[in-house]
Amino acid sequence: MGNFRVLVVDDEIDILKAVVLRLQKAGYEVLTAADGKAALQCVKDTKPDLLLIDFCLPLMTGGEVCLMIKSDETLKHIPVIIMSAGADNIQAKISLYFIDDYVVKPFEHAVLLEKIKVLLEEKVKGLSYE
Amino acid sequence: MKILLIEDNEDHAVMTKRFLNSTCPDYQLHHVAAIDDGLNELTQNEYHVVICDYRLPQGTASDVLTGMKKKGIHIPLVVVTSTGDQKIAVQLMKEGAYDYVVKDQSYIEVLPLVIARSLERFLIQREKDLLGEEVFSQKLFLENIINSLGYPLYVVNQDFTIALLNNTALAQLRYSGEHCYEVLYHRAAPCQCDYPCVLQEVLRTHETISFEYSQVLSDGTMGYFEVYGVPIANKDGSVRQIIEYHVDITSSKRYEESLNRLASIVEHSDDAIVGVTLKGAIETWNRGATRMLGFSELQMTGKPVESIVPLNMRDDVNLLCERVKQGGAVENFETLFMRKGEEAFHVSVAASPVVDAHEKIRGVAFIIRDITERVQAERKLKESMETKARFTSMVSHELRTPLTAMRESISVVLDELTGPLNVEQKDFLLTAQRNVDRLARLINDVLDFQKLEAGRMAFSLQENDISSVVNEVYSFMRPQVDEKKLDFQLRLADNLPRLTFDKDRITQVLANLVSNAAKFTERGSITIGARQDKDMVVVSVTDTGKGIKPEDMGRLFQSFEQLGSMQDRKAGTGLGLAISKEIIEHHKGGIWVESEWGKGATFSFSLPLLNGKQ
Repeated sequence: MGNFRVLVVDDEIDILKAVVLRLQKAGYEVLTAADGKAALQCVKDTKPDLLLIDFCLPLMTGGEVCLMIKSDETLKHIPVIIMSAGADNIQAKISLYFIDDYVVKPFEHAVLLEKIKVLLEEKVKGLSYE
Repeated sequence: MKILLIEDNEDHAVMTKRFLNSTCPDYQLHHVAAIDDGLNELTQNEYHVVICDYRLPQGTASDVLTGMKKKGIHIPLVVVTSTGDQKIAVQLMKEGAYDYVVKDQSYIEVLPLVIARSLERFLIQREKDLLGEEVFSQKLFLENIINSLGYPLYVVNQDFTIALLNNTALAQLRYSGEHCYEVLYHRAAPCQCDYPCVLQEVLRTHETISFEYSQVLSDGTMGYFEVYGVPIANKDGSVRQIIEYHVDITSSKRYEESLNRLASIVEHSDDAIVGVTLKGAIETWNRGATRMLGFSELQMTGKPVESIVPLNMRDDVNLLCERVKQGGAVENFETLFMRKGEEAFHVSVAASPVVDAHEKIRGVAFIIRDITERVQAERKLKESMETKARFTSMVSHELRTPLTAMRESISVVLDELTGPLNVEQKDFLLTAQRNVDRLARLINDVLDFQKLEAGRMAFSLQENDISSVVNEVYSFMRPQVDEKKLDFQLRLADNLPRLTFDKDRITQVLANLVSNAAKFTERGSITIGARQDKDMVVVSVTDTGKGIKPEDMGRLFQSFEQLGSMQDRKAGTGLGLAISKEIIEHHKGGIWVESEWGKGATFSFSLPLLNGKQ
């Protein structure tokens, strides 16, 4: 697991801190960003294995960041999990922004960890097929 | 009426006499046995009909006919023959007999008819002879006209004796007598009525008169009539006779009355009622229209209907007209109309065809209701609902963020990612975590309820496996049930069909039912079951808690309801079942409870097999 790098994006620093610690303890290498633009730049620069991103962000929404990634040939293989505070009616937006998966805040960290794990395993499989 | 019977058989004569006496008391029958006696009798007395046996001692009926001709007696003669003598009878009729009867067992029964027929023919013939062919046929012509009238017609002489009745009058006659007041009103003397007597009026004025009157009919309803009196004058101008006839105008009167009633309803309606011709010109305009639209009937009659409709709404009105012309009717059509001063306002319009007596569409009737107030109220309500929805959504979003931070922070420490905890520390952090979770559930409930109320909850209906939902709920609710040391059972039928439903929402409903069961059950078990029932799949949660009182069942699925006393209350908004009900109903399923107070309860919901596939 130490091989996987996860970019976590949230403008709420308190949430970010807890999630980062949780992921680190689970064995991931964690990068962070606090707004949409920085997140996209970071994705381009570091090509993380997975992006975990809040929906409501300054400068660019998590959805928009996801859309940019999925429309970029060099980045689209990166799985994206959206964290939503529920009010954005996230279900309707999944296909709109090509979102891979989502959790609704406040989430069960066990569920989040499971989702990250599944997506990363799928990605590894997908890559090995290519 | 005098009848002469010439018959040598005494028995036959007596029989005939008796029969005629009993059936036709008006007939006076005189009997002779011989031809000569018969001819003598005819010359001495006036008779109307002769009935004559064919074979007589001194000759035949033929001799009687010859004798009558010689003496110039022209009255009908009916021959009675024995059976087998028909040829003779025909010969006799050529010689001048009016009719013949064959002497069989029942011949006397037909005699009255034969006599009457012969007499009638005779009278007609006599009249013809008297009047001459041309005058007679003219008389017939006039009689036919008079008798074809559907209403009673009388011709009355100056002294109130009746000179003539047509057939309709004859059929209506209830009393006998010679005077009009006798046959019509059963009175002994000329009428002294409230309304003028037609005859007396005509006699007084020497002019044609008519007036209406009403009378209670035999069925108790009111009948209306128009009576006419027409004088027949002598050469000197005096009245000789009066023609009186009565025309029944009840139906047109009733129609007129109902029309008046309708007109009054239309006139006093608060709705504007506007009649328009097929070409779109305003034809009728009630008082309601004047009140609502500000123009008077005079101003609007003949104007195009479009003149009361704003420019951008004229297509609507044309559409309504077209629909009605094609035989349709439109109700509750909401659009804008325009009142005096070009002020547009909201209306609900009903348009229906105006048809003539042949059911042909002649125009369009618009019933226009001013719904300005309702539209404004609706708009206000919608605005306040939207504000509320925005507010709730904003609040819940804003609450979730700090809640998430709290939850994650607590769980990081609780899971000892930041170092080991002692038992007491762990216990307090668990308390904090439980309450954060509770707060999160409350927020979810309120938000869901708000969405359902505003009809804004999005459902993602897909084909899903209900068994997997039941299994999932069973496994993730396990900790909560275990915590209360209850037995948790699963009764899942095999091969449940796949259904169309929103997996997350149905999971939410089932989890809510299990959570409720766990909350209100102190000992015993909770069982989740799922089975197919005809075209439904029924999922149920059975507990061994204290159950629900019958009087509380109805309130169960209402919002913000929690049963029992304050001490019995458990953490929750009281929205869970209301939300579940909305979700299940959105799936066209049902949700219900069965319970016996003190013995637990079973909450069930059903999902139809065909959902979403129709």
